[in-house]
Amino acid sequence: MNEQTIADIANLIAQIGPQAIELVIKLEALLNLGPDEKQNIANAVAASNAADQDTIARAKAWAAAHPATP
Amino acid sequence: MIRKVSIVPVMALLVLASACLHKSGGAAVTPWEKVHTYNAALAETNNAVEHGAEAAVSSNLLQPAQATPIINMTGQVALLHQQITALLAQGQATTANMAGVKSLVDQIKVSIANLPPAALGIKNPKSAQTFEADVSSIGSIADAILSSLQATGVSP
Repeated sequence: MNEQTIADIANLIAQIGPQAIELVIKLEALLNLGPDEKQNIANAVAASNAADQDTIARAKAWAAAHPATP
Repeated sequence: MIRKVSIVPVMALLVLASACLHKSGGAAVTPWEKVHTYNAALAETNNAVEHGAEAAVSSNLLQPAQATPIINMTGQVALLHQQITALLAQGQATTANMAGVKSLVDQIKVSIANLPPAALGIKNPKSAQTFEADVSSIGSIADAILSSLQATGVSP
């Protein structure tokens, strides 16, 4: 994959579509690391935990608002 | 059985972009940085599926009853994934940690495989690909976490 270029990524983003830009930006942000390994890992863990906590909270709220029907 | 799709744009993007995974200053990206990058990507993609399912209901693309299994799955995956993150945050690629991560990845795949197929062909407005492709991406990224963890030097 080393020969892949930024242009390849740009083309793929265009293929995915502008609606997905929020997820694309988040994924790209994850791939731009700073110089310090510990800080990079801490940032990734924080992003991971924040996303999971948001998902769990929203799933619980959805379940409360849409109780299963028998 | 894990569902397969021919095109997985989110995972393809991640794989392409991983060629550009870099640190400012030009230092080499470490194996643990790769592990945690994939791990965060799984959480973000799963989160996008949850947001997308709700958006699809708001747009009348999905009925609430169709969205509920998808949203429930994202909640289950997030709970399992929190445990993966906790293991990885220990910063030790021990055999026990590796086995724990593999077990959790397997449970995530079961949650995905148990999804009813009815709503999976609908396009997720938050990823511009179908929910089937989204959940397949989650499984693929989970595999990438395992393989990158193995690259730190421990076999499962």
